[in-house]
Order: sequence, then C-alpha cells, then structure tokens
Amino acid sequence: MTAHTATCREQPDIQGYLDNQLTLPERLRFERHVKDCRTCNRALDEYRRLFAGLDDVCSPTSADDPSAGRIDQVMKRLPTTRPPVSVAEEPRTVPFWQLWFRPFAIGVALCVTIAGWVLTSRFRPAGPAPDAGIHQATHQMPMASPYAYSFLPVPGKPGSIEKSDGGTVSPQGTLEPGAAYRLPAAGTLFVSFAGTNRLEFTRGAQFSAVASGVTLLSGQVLCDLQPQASGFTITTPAGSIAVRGTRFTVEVTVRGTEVRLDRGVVELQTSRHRERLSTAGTRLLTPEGAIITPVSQPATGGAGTTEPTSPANLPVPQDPANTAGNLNQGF
Amino acid sequence: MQPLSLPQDQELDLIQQVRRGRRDAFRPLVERYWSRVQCLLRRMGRTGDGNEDLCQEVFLRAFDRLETYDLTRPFGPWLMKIAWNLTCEAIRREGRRVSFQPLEDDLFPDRQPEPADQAVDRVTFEECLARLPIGARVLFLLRHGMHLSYDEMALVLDEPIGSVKGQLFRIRGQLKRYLQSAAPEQVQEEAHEP
Repeated sequence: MTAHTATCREQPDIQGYLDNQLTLPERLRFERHVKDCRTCNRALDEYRRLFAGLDDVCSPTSADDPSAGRIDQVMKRLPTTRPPVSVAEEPRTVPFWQLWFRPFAIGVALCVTIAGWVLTSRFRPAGPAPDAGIHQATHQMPMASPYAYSFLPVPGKPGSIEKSDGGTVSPQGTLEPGAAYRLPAAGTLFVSFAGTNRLEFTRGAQFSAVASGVTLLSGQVLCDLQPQASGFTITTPAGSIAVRGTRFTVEVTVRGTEVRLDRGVVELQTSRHRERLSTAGTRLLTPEGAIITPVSQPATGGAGTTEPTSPANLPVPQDPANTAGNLNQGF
Repeated sequence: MQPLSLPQDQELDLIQQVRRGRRDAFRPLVERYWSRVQCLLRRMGRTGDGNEDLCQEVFLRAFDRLETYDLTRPFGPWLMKIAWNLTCEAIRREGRRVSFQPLEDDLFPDRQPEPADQAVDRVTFEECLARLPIGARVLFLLRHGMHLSYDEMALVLDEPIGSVKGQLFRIRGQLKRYLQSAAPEQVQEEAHEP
C-alpha cells in the first residue's frame, strides 16, 4: 500500500464514492476531479486496494461452509408446526362450486390466449428474418420496466439502437424487459435501475434485460452495482457472473467472456467451473467452460469507444444535464 | 463454495411457502446464507462446534420468527440482525460486553511495522481485523463481507446511520494510515517524486 503525501483542497468523498453513496452528479464531479487531480487519483487507488483487501478478508471462505449433515440437522430441528399465520394470510374456506369454477376459468383463459397467439402469428406480415442472436436472448416479460436508459451516440458516427421486434428505440426511455437490443458500433447506452445501480453498454452490445439480470451476447457492459443488487446476474454464452455488489466490466469476444473486476465480489460460473473473484483482476470464461487468467490484455478499442476500466476514462456524457437527463433521476 | 445466488423474488417465494407450512422450502435459504452467518460468527470469535451450534440457532430462530419478517425488505439483513443479536447474547453470557463507543485515535499503537509487512497481504488484513473491537469489527463484516448498505447496517446494529458511517470511515482512515506505515519504503519513494 502506498501513500500520497500532498493534500487536495477539494477533499472529495472517496469512501462515499467507493461505497456507491454518491448521486450521479456527485459521481461525475468526483470522476472529473480525480481525472485531473493526481493526489486524489493516488488516494483513490490506495482506498481501492484497501477496499479490495477488506472485501477479501471479510468475505466467507471455505472454512465457513457447513460441515457434513449440518444443514440436515437444522432441517430436522425445525418445528413441525408453524406459529399461527396472520389474519390476512389465513386460508379461508372455499365454497364447493368455486373449487371447480377457478380451474375452469383458467382453462378458458388459456385457450383464448393460445388461440389469439396462433391467429396473430399466422397473419403476421412477412418480413426480413430477425437476427437469431438477438432472439436467442429474449425471455420472460415482466409488466413494468425497472430500467431507465439514455443513449449517447459518438459525434460524427450516426447509428441507432435496434430492437428485436423491429420497433424504433428513442434516445431515452425505459428498456422493455425481455426484449433484445443491439447497439450500433459506436456509442454508449447508460442504463440505471433500482436506485444508483448503473450499467453502461458499449461496443455494439447485443443484450436483453429482465428483472433478475442481463443476457449479453456480444459487446461490453460496465456494471456499477450496489450491494443490494446481490443476485443480479450477467449471463453470457460462455458463462454467468453473479453479482455481490460490485464494479466490473464484462466483454463478450470470440475468445470468450472477459470479466474485469474493479471492486467488490463476483461469482463466475461456466458449464464446468465456478470461481469467486474477490480481488481486482481479470478472468476469461472460455467457450469450453474453463475460467482462466488471461496472459495479456486483449487489444481493445471499438470505433468511437473508450476503455471504461477506471473513473478517469469513463465514457460520461459531455453535459449530463442535457444529454442524459433521465439518468440524473435514475442514478 | 457458496450455492448460486437466488434472485430476490425467488427468495420471497420460498419465504411465503415456508409461511404456508412447507418446511422444505426453508432449506435453500439455509444453504444460501449458512456460510455468511458462519463467517460473521467466526470473525466475532466463535470457533469450532460452538460456532456451528450458534449458526444453527440463528436459522432455527429465523424459522420461528418468520412471521415477523417484513416481505418488502431484503431477507439477508434481517437474518444478520438475528445472528448479531444471538452473538451479543453469547458474548454477554461470557461476561464480555459489546460497545459502540468512540475508538481510540490509534487502534494499532503497540505494533511496529516489520519488513515483512511491506507487502500488505491477506495476513496483515486478517490481523488488523482481529485487532478491532467487536463493535467495530462487525461494521466491516457487514459492509465488506455481506455488502450491506449503511441503512441496512444501522438496522442490524440498532445504531443511527450517521454513527455507523462515521465509525466506518474513521476506522478505514486509521487502517489506511497503518497500512501505509507498514510500507515505509514506498512512502519515501513517493515523497521524492517530482
């Protein structure tokens, strides 16, 4: 661990930043300041190392795994009867006719839905074959979208976001859960959800988002998530990354899925291996199911993008008040 | 090591099933949280079978009090509060006490940096953590081990959020200064930078 000897008059809240307690304008101000202030940049690095060390030493280890039969013992010791449930949840007596009416009603509703689906798919106008990759990512469709987004194109490199149903995608709005999106080669999509969690998609990312996480088929996503987002999962063709409140980048390339952890803890999972990554570092999830430490950093630099591995070069909007207005509320 | 994480809606579903009388639905919750609870207890100084017994008690009490759990809040902090309460009870039974009093300015006064400390490694962090009073150590375990937010930590510890945050920042600052002193050569090196 190193020390910074000089002091900075501004004294930015480094711990608050690393604890994800700053609002978006505060974060942006902090990141701009750190970019220019050598003292704070160094202090940030020191605190990062401190946080990584603390994360590592405070997290559960294999010594905390239950010994054989312990969980069975707990289950055996659970009382067989539960305390009385509250009035609101108390099961009520259902009249006999209702027992049959409910399944009947559900059956009718199901038939109507299936018939509607068959009819609409039969009379759907013929069009170009949709991108198979995009549709692969489409799954469950919750009602409300928790994801607010703002797209920031690179000046001089026009392009728009494509959506799996062919619908137009405005520069700002909310992502439809379950729908698949594809970004142009240049530009960044800023997504915020559930408080101060944020995702930044770049490099022509193809993805879909549902409440429990994101499926990333190609491109890159930088994740800056609060501890409360624990359980949020990034799924890629080579494996998945389960979040424990952290900041990291996931990039899907032909070599596999590269995960660069900046801070916090993630659990990596492929078809063959699982690894808990709790210190800053890089891992490659290969298509064969291995999890390896890449020997050298891959060449990066998609057109019009920057390398978002540190606050100093995060791709932030020029003027967040104008270009990413909804994020100011969402972050 | 740990079971795969359960999304919060799945967790909620399991809790509701348990409330409706399906005891088996409690097992995934035990499997998911066992190592976290055990880690908290171990770092609080509980070791061996006593630790696992207390861990078991945490889950039995959670099962017993599941009706009082507020479904709109995350389950993890609620469980950690039970674990912390049981830990405090056990500590008091041993005649010790848990205090959140302000700490000394220098938490590590009697330890001089050694050459081996120049590389700040896991052992150094382990030692620093072990030297913290229990009331301070739990802050780190909840924040860095369980990744709870400040308000969740305040809820678990029954302390005002300001004092939780202030204490955490202060100890981190002390820890950082201490770790810097354990790497004197690097400090010197930087002091001579143009």
